[in-house]
Amino acid sequence: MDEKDLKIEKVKQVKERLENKLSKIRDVVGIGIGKDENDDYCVKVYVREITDNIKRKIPQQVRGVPVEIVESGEVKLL
Amino acid sequence: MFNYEILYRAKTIAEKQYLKQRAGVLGLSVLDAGARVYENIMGVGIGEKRVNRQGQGYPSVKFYVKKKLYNCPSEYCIEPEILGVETDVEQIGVVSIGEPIPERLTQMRPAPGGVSIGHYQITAGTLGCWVADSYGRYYILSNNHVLANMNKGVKGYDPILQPAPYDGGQLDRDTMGFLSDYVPINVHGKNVVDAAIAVPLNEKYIDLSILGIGNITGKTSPELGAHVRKSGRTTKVTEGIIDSISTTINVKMSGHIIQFTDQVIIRGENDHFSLPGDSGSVVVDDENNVCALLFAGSQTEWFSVGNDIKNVEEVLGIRIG
Repeated sequence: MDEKDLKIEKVKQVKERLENKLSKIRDVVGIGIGKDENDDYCVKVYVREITDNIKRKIPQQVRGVPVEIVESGEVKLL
Repeated sequence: MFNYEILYRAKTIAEKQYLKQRAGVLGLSVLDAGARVYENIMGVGIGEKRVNRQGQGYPSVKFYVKKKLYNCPSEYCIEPEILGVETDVEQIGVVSIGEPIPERLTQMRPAPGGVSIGHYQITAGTLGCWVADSYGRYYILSNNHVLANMNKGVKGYDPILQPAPYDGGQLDRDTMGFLSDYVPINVHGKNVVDAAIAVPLNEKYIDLSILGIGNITGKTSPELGAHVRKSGRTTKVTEGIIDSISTTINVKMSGHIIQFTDQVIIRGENDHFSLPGDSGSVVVDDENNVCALLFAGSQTEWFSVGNDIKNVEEVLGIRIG
């Protein structure tokens, strides 16, 4: 595995762990792998609305992987 | 000989009295007789007097009305003459600017990707693109909720309309094919795709291109940060950036929350990437490689969700391009 694969493997693990942890929070709509403004891999957490409560519940980073909170609103079929 | 000046003055009086009063009358209740009469007058002009469709050989002040009223209160009736010039009333119906129906919403044969399509009992969705099975037979690719009416469609039997019912599509006249196969959506479990295929009634209906995008090159994996486009029934061709991959997302649908895994999130670049009716559009990269099948979005303008196209190919046993 090269460095990039190792990195994405780690982000995947962090994403899965967070997914289990955050699945009980109603305002969390989704969790995926993205890139932050520094072009580093990060975990993106999509939420209905960014509130202080949400910010308290979601860590800013896990094992060195940045976590970004993104307001997506409610997702519906189009 | 008729004095044109008198004719013109009579017409101007008619205009002032009947047409321009409309603005003041509009504030009244629609049930008011006066309002109804003035609302009915669509135009005033100068033209040959006609009686029982026969031209009388002399000019008149013409009133063009939506509908001739025969029990109109006398105080609102159009006077028989103005300044000695006879009046004439002609029924013309409602005047509107002839707006052409956008081509995506009309019947197209052959039909490319990006046009209105849907199961006969739904509102409207988008024909994503044409795909082939291992025998080289072609199918229409879109979502389960577009072609299979959310698990309710009957395979090999239910008609698919192009344009979709919401856009005026009717059985028989607009039947383009039949539901062939779909991946059931599990309301309680995890889902990977919202996908279905339909078989065309006629091979002549197949157009392998996508409206406003062109021919498909092939398929590709969604790349983070990649610039993408889609061509859909509602918002036509729009551009976006892939915001995240391998995404687990909860989609709200008629009281249920349905979970989809391994999804692609697309961020609209300028405005909406998609709106209702764009479901079923395929998402392509700059080289026209398909990377996702769009099916959901949020009221937040920029946010759209698509299935990774490799999962769609795998579960339906079809291939892109």
